[in-house]
Amino acid sequence: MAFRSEETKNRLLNLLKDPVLLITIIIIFAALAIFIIYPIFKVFSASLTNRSGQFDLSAYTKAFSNRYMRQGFFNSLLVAGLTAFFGMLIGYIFAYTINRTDIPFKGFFRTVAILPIVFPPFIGALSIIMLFGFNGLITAGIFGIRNFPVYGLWGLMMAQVVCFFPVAFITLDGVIGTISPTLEDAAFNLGANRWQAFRKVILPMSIPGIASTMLVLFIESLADFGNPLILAGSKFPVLSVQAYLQITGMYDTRGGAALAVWLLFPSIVAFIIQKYWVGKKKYVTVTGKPTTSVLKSVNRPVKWLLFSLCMLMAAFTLTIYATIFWGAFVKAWGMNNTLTLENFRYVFDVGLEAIKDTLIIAFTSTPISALLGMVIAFLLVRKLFPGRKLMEFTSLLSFAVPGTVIGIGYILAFNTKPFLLTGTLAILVLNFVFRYVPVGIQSGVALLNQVDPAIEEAAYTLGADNRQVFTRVTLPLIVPAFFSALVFAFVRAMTAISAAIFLVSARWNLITVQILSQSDSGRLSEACAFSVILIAMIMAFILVLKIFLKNKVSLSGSESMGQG
Amino acid sequence: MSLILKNVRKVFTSYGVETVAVDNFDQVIEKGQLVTLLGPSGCGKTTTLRIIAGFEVPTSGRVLLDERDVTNLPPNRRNISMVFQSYALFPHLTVEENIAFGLKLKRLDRSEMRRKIIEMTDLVGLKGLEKRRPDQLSGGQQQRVALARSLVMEPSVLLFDEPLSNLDAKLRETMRLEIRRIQQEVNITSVYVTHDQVEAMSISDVIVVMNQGKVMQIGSPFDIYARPENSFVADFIGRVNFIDGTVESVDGDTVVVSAGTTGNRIIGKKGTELAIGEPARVVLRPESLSDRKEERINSLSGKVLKYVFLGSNVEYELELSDGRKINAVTFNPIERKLPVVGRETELYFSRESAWVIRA
Repeated sequence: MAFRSEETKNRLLNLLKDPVLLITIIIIFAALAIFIIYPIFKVFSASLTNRSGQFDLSAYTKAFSNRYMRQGFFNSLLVAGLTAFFGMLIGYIFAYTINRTDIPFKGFFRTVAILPIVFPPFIGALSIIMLFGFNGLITAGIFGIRNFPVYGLWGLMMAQVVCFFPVAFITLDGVIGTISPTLEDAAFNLGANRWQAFRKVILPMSIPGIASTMLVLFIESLADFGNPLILAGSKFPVLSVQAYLQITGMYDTRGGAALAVWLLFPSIVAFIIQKYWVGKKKYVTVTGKPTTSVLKSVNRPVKWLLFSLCMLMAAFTLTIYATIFWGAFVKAWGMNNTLTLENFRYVFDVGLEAIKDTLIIAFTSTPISALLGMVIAFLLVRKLFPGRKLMEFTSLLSFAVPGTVIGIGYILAFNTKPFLLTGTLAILVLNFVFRYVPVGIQSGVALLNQVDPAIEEAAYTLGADNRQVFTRVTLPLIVPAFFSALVFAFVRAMTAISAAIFLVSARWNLITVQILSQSDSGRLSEACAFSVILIAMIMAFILVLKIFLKNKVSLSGSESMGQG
Repeated sequence: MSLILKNVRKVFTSYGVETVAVDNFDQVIEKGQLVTLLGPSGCGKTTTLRIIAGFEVPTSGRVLLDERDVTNLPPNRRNISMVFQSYALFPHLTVEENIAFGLKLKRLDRSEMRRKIIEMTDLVGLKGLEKRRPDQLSGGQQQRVALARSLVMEPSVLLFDEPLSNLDAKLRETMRLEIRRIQQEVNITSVYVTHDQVEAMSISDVIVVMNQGKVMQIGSPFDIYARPENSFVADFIGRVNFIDGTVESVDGDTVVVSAGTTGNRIIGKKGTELAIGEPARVVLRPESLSDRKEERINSLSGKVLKYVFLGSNVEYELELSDGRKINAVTFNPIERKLPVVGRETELYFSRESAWVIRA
């Protein structure tokens, strides 16, 4: 036992000898505590205390005795569950078809299955109203139906599936793509037919991926705010929207906070299951190069059935986005379909400030978020320090906490001194930085795990301190993760709505908020024009980054970083 | 000017189970020596090396470098360089930039840096490859870069962590001669970790044989092979026959062992303290056995079970009358006849080659 304490003492002495590392760790812990934990804590404490500051459960009893609110809770879970299932199913069909059959147009399907990631999530809802709503192109325009039930469960689910199935596709593509075809060959060789090979080999091996995907979609759907705001309608209350309306419509912060807590629990549970249970059950199947598949996993009829399903989904997805583009150029959707540029003039008149603000906020928060993600990834993978697990959990937590909860937390936490930030640029930037840092951390951790730690150790023995190792060796090596974090954080910052809607002010507004308020007041074409501009800016950013990276950084270098 | 490890001990705890990785390692490494830590995987040799480098904190004990306690110094302030098994070259830098990495951190001026880099590329034979990236080099060239990158820092101690195990057999032989040549030319104190005994024998001044965290023996390559202190070392280094028996008499450094049921008496050299009547073990290398008597005073006889003809030598297995099996090697089979399977054969060995230790 005496030895142990000597070792601990040695460790602490080493840490003290390296003040840069120590200070970095302390600062990151403090930041995580203030900008992730504290707001969540404030949501709890606000929901549990009354005006005179006493402990009081009445906000919960009130919310629970209200049938409408109760309905909202179950509706949220129902939609999340259905979206998780169907999103996963479509993602799986795409991933399986692309990886295991020799259908034509694979590149096209792959693109369509990834495309929705870079689009604002809620424009799916906007488009669905334009297609199936009161003046819907399909319902009213083709079939003459005016009262098609687009608002509510099915409309909402449809919009969410379109915008979230890419998440499922990307994960499952990785899972199915790395199951070696030789395993199927082995199954055939042992006498299995195609269906048995799928049932007994491919499906069981993709179960962890399927479970993990469904949990992620469940969390995303629960947290979704834009789609339900447009599509849920008054007869189908959903928690995230109810919490927002409670606060902004009824000025009942306590009630809103209580609803937010209700929203938080299922998300956290799903997150913990995903991270600590499903996440550990992955089958490792990759060793070396995957063998070339002979693509005999399915017979011809099944192949063309899968092809048709993918085609149908791709067509639907493209229709959704094409509708937005078309809508941006017509006078009044569904009533006067003359082409015009009028909508864009309107956008630049009304929304120029919002466009500028959005860009400023995205360009400020994105690099900070990506860099912070890399620093935390470095600490988590390469450093041993007390509280490492806690840092990992906290920094990834903001992925699981619905934006609505975080938004309410921020207005509660930062409207008084010492953190008086309400209405400022800072509150939006900080919110985006900490909300989107988990992606940077995850891609950084994934890449660092493939980098031989000896490379960094070599730098230490050559006299580099922690800061020099990070900037001169680690960062150049994980540059691909940094840029993917950069792209993701940028897209998210440009398209964010759920938390941001609580934080915008007269001085700092966002395009997404404009789109919602335009569509809310029935100006669908103007909302479309805003969306087109938003999408154009995101595309331009990604394009510029791509061109810049081709000339500046060789991303292919990452392949040679593995162990020799 | 030396590296001293004082009672270094390292215990890893995982899920409440303690594993002693290094158990009271005590050794002085003199200036200019090349000391090899040799042992099977998991014996603690790499952990010891990483403690010297500063990547692991010892559970107890101290590390002293040039009379300075460096136990609590981070790796970057120890003036110790390391050559890694995976080479660990910076993949985003050229050969030249890799070598210059540490010099830049030292803020050396440009001309000085140039001079040193040229000197180094000369020494390790990398001329003409300065502008290449690591992925454009062969394994052997990469290891030369790793060596140059470490040497250019003029460290007090140079550490090698199984530097040759990623190379093919032929290259391994040339590279180990290269490493030894350069090490002696620069006269740098080195600690070298390997599990390959031939590698250890061919380059070391001193070999430390380790097993399960404990030091089994420290000595020159000759001592380790010819005068093992225990069965582990005898068995781990090279091939060996053990003949167990009891001590019949001890006279100076000569021991007489009665070898069990065969009734043979073996006259050998005393390896450890032995008392009459104690169980003893005779360590006998296969190549010490000969089919010619000449001056050899000991003999064994048995039936040839099988043999393998390997060109330069013949290895064969003999079954003694009590069923024990003995391996033997004879060289230059061209001028001798091949053994005949099943034939009764007598083999001889000298007092010097029968090394007797405690059983």
